[in-house]
Amino acid sequence: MALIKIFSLSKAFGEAVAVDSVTMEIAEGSFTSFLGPSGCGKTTMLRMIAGLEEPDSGEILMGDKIIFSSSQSISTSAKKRKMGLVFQSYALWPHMTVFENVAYGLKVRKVPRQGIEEKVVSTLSMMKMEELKDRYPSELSGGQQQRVAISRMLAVDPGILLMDEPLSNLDAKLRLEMRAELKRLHRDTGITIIYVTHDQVEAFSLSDHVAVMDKGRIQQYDCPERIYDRPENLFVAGFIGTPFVNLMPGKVAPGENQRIQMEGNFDLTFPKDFKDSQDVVVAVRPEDLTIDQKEKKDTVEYTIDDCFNAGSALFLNLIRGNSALLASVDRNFTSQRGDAAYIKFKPASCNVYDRESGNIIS
Amino acid sequence: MGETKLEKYYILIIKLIRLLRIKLSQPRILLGIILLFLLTYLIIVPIISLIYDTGTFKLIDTLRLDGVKEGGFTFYHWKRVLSNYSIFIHPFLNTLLIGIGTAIVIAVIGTLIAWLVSRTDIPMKGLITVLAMVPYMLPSYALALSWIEIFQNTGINMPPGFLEYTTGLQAQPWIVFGPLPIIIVLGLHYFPFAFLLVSSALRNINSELEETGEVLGAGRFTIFRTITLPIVTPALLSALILGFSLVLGSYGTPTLLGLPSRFTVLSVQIRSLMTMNMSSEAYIFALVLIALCTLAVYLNNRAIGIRKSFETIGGKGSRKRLTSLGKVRIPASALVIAFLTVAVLFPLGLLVWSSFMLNEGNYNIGNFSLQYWTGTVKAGDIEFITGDPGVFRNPRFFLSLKNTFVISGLGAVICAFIGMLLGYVVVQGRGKRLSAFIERISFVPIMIPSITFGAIYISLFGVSRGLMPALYGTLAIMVLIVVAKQMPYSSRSGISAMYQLSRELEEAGEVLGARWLKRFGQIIWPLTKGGFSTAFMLIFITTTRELSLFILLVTSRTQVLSTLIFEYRELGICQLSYALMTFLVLLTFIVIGIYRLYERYSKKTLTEKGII
Repeated sequence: MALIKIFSLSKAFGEAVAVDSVTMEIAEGSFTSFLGPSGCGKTTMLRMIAGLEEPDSGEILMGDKIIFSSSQSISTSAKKRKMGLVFQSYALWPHMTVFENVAYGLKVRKVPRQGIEEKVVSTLSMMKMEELKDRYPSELSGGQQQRVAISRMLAVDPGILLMDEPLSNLDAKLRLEMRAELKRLHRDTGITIIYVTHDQVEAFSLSDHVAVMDKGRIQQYDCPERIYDRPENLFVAGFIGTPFVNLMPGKVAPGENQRIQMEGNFDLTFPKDFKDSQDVVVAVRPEDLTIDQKEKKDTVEYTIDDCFNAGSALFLNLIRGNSALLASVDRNFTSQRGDAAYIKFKPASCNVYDRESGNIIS
Repeated sequence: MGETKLEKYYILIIKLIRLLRIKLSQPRILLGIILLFLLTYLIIVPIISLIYDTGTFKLIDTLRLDGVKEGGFTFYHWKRVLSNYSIFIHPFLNTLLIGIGTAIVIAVIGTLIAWLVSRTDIPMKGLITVLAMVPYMLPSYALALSWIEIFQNTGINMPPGFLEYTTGLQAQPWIVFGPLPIIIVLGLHYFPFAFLLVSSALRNINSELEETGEVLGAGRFTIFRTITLPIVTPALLSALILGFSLVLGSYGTPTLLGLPSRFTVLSVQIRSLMTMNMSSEAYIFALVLIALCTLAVYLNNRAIGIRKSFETIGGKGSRKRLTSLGKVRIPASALVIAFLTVAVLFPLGLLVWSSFMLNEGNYNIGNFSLQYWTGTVKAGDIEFITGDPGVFRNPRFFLSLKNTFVISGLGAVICAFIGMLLGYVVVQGRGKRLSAFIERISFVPIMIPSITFGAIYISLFGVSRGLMPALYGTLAIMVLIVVAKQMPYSSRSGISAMYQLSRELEEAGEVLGARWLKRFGQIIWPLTKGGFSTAFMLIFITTTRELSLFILLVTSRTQVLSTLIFEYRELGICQLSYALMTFLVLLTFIVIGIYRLYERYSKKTLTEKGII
């Protein structure tokens, strides 16, 4: 069941369009991420859902209730939406102890003292923070501050938890730990989480749904697997994956609608029909290439230009004429600069895009 | 064996010299030591000398008392003063009343306007900010003079004031003189400090702290009360401490508004004791004021504490959202502007107007006269009792104008320059004991009320000691006192200027082989001189209108504008005093205007050169 429904939501700051007519639904109990480069509008989306930013037009529904509608002039204030929001900066109040920070929302809601005490302690113990309840934020580490910021929101039992880049101020190791912690939290509480991040690994490993955003629009809204395997357009294909995907220009051979003439003077044949003489881009991930040091059937010869050791894998920089290709190989692979490498492109792991529109050709 | 022992000493001394040479070859340490001596001499030694003076018999005591020797140790002065109700206890309690009362007025007005200007969407913020800064540019007693001009009346045997002249109403005596007007007038004069400090704190608050409260269901007022206000409390408290210290040391307003109703405070007592040749007793009062300020600073530090103060982690913290005041935004703005106009602009205008009146208290246009501006005094003029000519024909005016410029200019240049050097030493030696100590000493003058500073300097530099000749009656002592008293401001500005300078810029010069003087002159100075000119301006303007700091030190030869204004007022030649005041305020505005132009011009040239 959809918890949040958004219809053609737009927001501009002066001339700059932050969010451009976004329509989407967010399922109850899901973990949904907004993923995109900085300035893509993901934080603005989150703030509009939270009620901290007034959209220019569109509608937002929570359950059956309209919480924002430009046509009906409805705008429920943030304090009445009963959501939780965790900021990147954590925004812990420096003059309050951990206990007071977490108790704040309950106090504002006039919960009796006994109830506050119980709820704060149980929330803090769920986040393994009960021993630190009398400390001030300045006496906590980054990870601990993060836990307090989350506890503070969980204590009021929000209908939905919004998180704006919550892990980006943590160091790499702590980030991994907190990631696992967030996953556990989602599993244990079943709360709906909307998460904003620019880190694709974070988005993929945490979420069941990812909305990739660019220039204020949702480029693709799907489960992580499909976003990785079948990016719907060239932006998503180029943005997702480390290292980046190979984007190779080509042209459908005249009269032969299944064959693409690639730059670098070789052909690829796909089991589907393209438009005659269509300009296309073939995208293939470095790990989806098969590499041999001897020539085999249906392989293309490249020359090894460089080799990068990334620890768990080796990346080869290959050239053929003017075109270059990045391939990942097993780390036992031994080679020298100038050696020949024979590449096999599997049509099933290649996506073909229309060069003009940038959209996938299915 | 003896030889080896000698050798050991020899080696030790060689090592020591080598260590010293290595240490002193670091400009930071050499400069640090020089500054340490200088600050000790200007700030610490005078306080010690002051304490010493209160515990010894003076020449005059040998005449008053039997069998005492000059210079002998005694608690005589302390006992005599502290137990005396009318000399000490009463003024002490009055001082507390004034200090605390004014602090409350400062806090309320300053915080409210600061919040409206920096966190809400009211219109006309620029105008409000300018108006709120006007009191800061006036001499501290200007508003006191206006108060009297407005409220004095024939009911208390004074000429009719503006209120009586226009409406016929006679204000109650406790409205004209006494603690209430002192608190109101000082509060109006000093609230800009709170306004400045609190609004900069408010501007630096991460909006997310408030938004979190909103998301959790708190209303606008609850958020202000439970989140915004507590976070700016440290800034507010330090503004209050500063205000408290300024109020305790201020002399002009309490004299003008207190003495006529026999309401005295410690600062006023200090001067009268000094003139009665009871300097030891006056010094005790000075120490009491220092102790009060120190106590206030201590309580402030206790209240804030380290635990609650921390910098919120950056991130996208610069996002600013102004609180929308909806329908009340225009009335709120109008109310603030009206308040500032009535409280600041109107009194100022009244003084200017009064300077053009031939007879005091006659607001009729027929009474208009340039007598106090350009008039001469003819023999036999009975209306003009003292016979001092108008401002532009008055030799005393020209002397005091020259003195004001010499003292403010020299004092500001020296103090601001020392501040830069101090900033360099402190920032370079971050975390080192020498730097921390120098920084701490440079802030001590904040805790020494102005009038006390004058007393201290008389005590130390009044007579010749060692190499230092007696400086009483010279401009030098007044320049020195400016340098010492303004050190907290110049060092703060120097430190913050140096913090903005990346250490690598100097290190790059060092690697390329530039000597320290060259590095300072060609790299550090050009990049930090903005900090110097800010400090210079601040000190220059503060000093041109300073009264309390100079009132004990001036002689007829070293008179400055503000003390001359005060003297004429005490002599009862009000219009001449107001004319001088008008001139001084005008001068301040012109200086600020020139500075603004310079700032704009120099920024532009820097941008053109692509430096910024």
